[in-house]
Amino acid sequence: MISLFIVFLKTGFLGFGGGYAIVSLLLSEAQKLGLTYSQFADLMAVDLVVPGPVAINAATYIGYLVSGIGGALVATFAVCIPSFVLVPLAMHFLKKLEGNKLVENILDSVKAAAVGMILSAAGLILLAEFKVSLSLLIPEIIILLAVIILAGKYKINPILLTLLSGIAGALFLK
Amino acid sequence: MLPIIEKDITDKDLLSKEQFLEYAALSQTLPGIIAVNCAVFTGRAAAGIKGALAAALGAVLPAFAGMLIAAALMEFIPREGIVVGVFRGIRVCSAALLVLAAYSLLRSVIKNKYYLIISAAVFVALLFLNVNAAVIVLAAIVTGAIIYYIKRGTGR
Repeated sequence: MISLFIVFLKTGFLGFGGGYAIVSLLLSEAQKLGLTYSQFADLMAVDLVVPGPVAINAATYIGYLVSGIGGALVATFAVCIPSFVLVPLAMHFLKKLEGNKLVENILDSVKAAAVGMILSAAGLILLAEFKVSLSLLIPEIIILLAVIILAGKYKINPILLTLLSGIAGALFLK
Repeated sequence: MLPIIEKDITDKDLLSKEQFLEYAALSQTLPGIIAVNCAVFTGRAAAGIKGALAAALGAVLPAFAGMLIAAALMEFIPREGIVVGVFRGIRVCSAALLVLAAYSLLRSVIKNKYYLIISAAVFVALLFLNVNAAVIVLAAIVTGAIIYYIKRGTGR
């Protein structure tokens, strides 16, 4: 329970660039929490259906998996603490931070890192799936590309795509 | 999420529109959950520390409750036969959506193409070298500071 608290507190403080950055930080701690990449991928799927900030969804879900309702409470509480520490500080020092070139450069660098972190989270989930069986590799790659094109180019609703991917999985990924 | 909150906040005269938009932008700059940051900013400005707590609770509670129910239900789904395939399909789908999330972040934050080197290095370090992500973030902070001092040193 204490390690759960520390992991979520740490990821909250280091999660620059929004919820998906926090999720990729959590993925890096997966082994410490005793979770598999597949469980994370399930979390991402459930997140699509349950509305709300992805990091809250992740904290509740992972906390519950690790140690029940108490775990869900501890993880969600911990991941919110940084907001209560940093926001009042930011309100106090707002004038000094604005237009500070050093801060700007640091934020640009950290957000560029967040892009790589989120991509690697996708990569880790995919590698875990691809390892299951070679014969599933081709249908998996087709689903992957189809979702990227349909959501990215044609702006199809992610929930609908999740549903379709599930159906495609039932047909071709047994 | 932000446009809906903006309308409610300004309709109820809790904050001016400009003030809210400034807080919304800052919420995305700070680490942590953007929605909770935003709730703490507006809650505190409108009604002090109690306001911050109330707003944060409001931002967190629906997701917490929904996810708790979902997590409990997931335990009852049998992982055999056709369900295995369904979950495989959905996992691939969620990875694809992560790729798109990374791409949209990339488009909104990368002002200078040299920053792509950082993104690429982070990707390789995490995926193939098993470096801890927390270390990566700290390294990125240091890198940003170094870039600043190099720029200042060369007078650009």
